[in-house]
Amino acid sequence: MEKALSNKKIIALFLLPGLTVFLIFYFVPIVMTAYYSLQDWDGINPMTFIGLDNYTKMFTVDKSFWQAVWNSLAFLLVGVFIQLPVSFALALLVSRKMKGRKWFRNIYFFPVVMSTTMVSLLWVKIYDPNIGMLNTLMDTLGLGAWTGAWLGDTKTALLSVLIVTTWHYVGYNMLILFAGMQGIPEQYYEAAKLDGATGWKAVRHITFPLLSDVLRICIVLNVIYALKTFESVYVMTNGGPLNSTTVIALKMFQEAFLKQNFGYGSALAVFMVLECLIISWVLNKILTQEKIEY
Amino acid sequence: MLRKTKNSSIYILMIIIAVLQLFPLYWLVISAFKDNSEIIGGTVWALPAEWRLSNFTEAWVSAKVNQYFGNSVIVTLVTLMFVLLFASMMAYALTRMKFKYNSLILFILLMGVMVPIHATLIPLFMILKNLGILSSRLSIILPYIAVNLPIGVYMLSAFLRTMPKELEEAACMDGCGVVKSFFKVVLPLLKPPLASVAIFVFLAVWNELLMAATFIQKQELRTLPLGLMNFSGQYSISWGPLAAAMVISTLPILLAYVLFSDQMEKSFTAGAILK
Repeated sequence: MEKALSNKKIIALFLLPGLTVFLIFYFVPIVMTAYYSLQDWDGINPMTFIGLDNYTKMFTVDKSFWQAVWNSLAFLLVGVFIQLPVSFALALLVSRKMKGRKWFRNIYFFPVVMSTTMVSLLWVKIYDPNIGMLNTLMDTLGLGAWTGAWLGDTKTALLSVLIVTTWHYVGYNMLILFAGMQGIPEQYYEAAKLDGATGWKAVRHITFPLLSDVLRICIVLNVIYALKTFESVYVMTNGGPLNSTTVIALKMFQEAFLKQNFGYGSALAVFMVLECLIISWVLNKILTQEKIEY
Repeated sequence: MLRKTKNSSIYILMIIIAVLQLFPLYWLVISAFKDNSEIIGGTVWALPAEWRLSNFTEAWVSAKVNQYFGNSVIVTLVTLMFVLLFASMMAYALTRMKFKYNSLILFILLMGVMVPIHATLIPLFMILKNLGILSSRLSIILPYIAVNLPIGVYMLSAFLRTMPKELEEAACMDGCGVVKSFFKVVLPLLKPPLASVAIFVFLAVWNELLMAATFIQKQELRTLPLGLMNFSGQYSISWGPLAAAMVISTLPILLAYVLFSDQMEKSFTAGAILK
């Protein structure tokens, strides 16, 4: 057995098929992106090495890059400070011992499994000034003065997209937090009850601190998802109107595949990777400092 | 008494949230049975006066949703098969077999969990072009396998590490080789984590848009998300057929959800903890 398990041929047989596909279609491209980002290249003619010029252009010349950074930041802030607290409240609600809680959990979670394309197309129609249900609904409720072309107006477009992503993903965090809450032993709550801690007090002193690891995961996940936002913006507004909803992933896509700036697009991709890695590393550092032991 | 009112107000709150979550979907489903005049002129929440199936036939046949559906099925099944096979083989080698580069390979795979796929898009486009498979089914299947392998390997090795070795050793005593004992003994035991991985990969591939939009240029090879997007551009005024197409494309997910909702919850939480 031991001998067979260190037989090089068998090891290769088990590892190579998957590893080859992974290396060629995932790992090598990551390395190549870094290389492309130092080139001036349209994808057809030979590339010219230009050092860090793409990055200089990104940080100093290109105004829409900063617009994209700010918009990504908006997704990040909404994810962490609105979506996560709402998810936490939902998780508390569905972990109460009451009839039908599984039903509610399933209903709140279902949007998560639908594709972003589907959800986005659905909301494009909901926001549509002509056939959409939002304006009609608001008219019915006597809020006619507030109706508008939600996705077509620079003032409301970003907010409208943010509402959709929140609607789509609250159930995801809810589920992870719910799973964490199930892992907290019942005795803690019983002991707290004897000390007079029920309701909100129990949540504050037991659920919250004992969930800190899961909360950390949720924060990191939300941040990474926010920084990777692409589909919802691509489908709903394609970055418009006037770049008011553009994000970095979309900008990378447009630069490379519409404007044929493969070098500059690669620099944007590298920026995205570093942004994700650095922010999640920093978050992990900050959030693990205050570890609570019981 | 106080407890009772508190409980019922919590129920009301939960029902309001449930309505907020479900109402858009309800509107989608009823729109799929309505015609344009009913959608534009009628009440938002009213059921269709007559449950028309014409939107569905129009979407399925004229708007080629049948083709997109077929493409999605093929791409998803092929990807799923290879991810499950390769990931379980790799996970087995990485947890049970002894060799030097074990931790290096795990580290490289970890990059696949951390780095956003957006960063691979431009070079992948060139690689696929040079291989001459751009705009074929392979041009998305191969990247889909590569992208989903790491999470599969991680989920399966986490399970394998907790699994006792006795059964494999017994099989070995009986004269099974490693390969045979892997397929006869290990794979059947891996069923529960394989189901989790399968659900994860199914949803990821069935819903994927970015790579499909970049690598698939032939109309007849479009997958559902890509087809739907294009469809909405062409049918910008008639919402009914588009709604029908969207209902059709969500049916497999709904079915999977009804059948495996517990498994789905497990795979989502496991996937999240890994990231």
